[in-house]
Parts: sequence; structure tokens; C-alpha cells
Amino acid sequence: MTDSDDIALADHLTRRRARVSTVSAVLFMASMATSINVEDGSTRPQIFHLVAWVIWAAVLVTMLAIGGGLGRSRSVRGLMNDESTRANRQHAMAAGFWAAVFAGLGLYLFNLLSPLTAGEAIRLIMTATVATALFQFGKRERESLADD
Amino acid sequence: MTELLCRLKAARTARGWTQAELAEQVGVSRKTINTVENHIFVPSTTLALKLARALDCPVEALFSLAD
Repeated sequence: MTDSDDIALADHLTRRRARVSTVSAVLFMASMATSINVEDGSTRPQIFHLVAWVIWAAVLVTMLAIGGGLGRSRSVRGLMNDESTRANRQHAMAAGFWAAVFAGLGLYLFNLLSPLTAGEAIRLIMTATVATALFQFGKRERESLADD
Repeated sequence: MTELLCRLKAARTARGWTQAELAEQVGVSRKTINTVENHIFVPSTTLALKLARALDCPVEALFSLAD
């Protein structure tokens, strides 16, 4: 049997995680949209912007993979990542995979018309992948939490 | 795909339990109980057996296949 306080805390943290996932996806996409040409020679140096973006992407992917709850008890972390959450995460990651595939195909075609740098292409594919996975995870978690 | 009929909500409410109370008994989140009851999520065999044990009924009383 699990402690009722842990159930309530996990419920609260799960709701917050769902909101944060959706907001993070939007912000991550917005960040990409506002920094399309930072790799251009004319706009250098933008190294800090790019390093910050890489760190942000790594943090988001890590949070998606482990599900948060850091600093909480093992019981609360277990409740936050029980089987319905793992199923939602699996669906979200599959959606991210398809986003990567279609982003890659789209960018390849776009590159035939207007050449892209490798850096731009990688960042666009990463943005599509991570933002889609986060958005899907947040959406599915919110649907799971909705009372009937 | 064969449809799974779920009578978890009826069994839980017959006991007078909230979703949180059943979650506490089974050791899962309230969200997982909610998703099973709302047909969003099909539980694993392990979880189905745990739910049946918590509600003191056979698993077939909670879940069955639509004919």
C-alpha cells in the first residue's frame, strides 16, 4: 500500500509536469524561430546562444526521459512514472521520431532549393523532434488527468 | 482490435472508494486509475490483477472482451 500523501504529491507534480512540458515545447519552438540565422557568418559571434540552446535541448530531453521528480522520494518518483505515464512517454517519443523523419525529408527537399548549413538543419530537426515529443507528452498527460 | 470492457469504476464506487483510495491500495497514481476507468489506457496484466486483488474480485469481473 502506498502513502496517501505520496499519491497527492505525485498527482500535484504530474499536473505541473504536464503544464511545463507543453509550455517548454512552445518556448523551444519559439526559441528556434527567433534564431534561425544565428549560425550565419554575418551574425557571429553567437556561440553563447548556440551553447545555451544545446544545453536547453539536453535538459528537455533528459527531463522527458526520466520524468522529473528529482529530489523527491523513490515512492513519489515511482508514482510519477507508473505505467500510464510510461505509455504516454512511449507515444510521445514515437511522435518525436515521426517528426524527425518528416522534418528530415522536408529539409532535404528544401535544401535542394535553398541550401542550409548542417548546423541549421540539425537544430531544425532537433527542434521538431524535442518539441513534438514534449507537446505530445504534455497533451496525453493532461488528457489522462482530466476527470470524466 | 478487440474491445476491452472495463467495469472498474462500478466496482470501485460499489466499495465507496475514491480513485485516490484505490490508487493507494494498488500502489499506482490516481491518474492511472482515471485513465483505466475512462478507457484511455489498457492496464498491464500485473496491474489488472492488482486491481482485482484490491477490490477482492476476480479479474474477469473488472475486465472482459466484447463479444
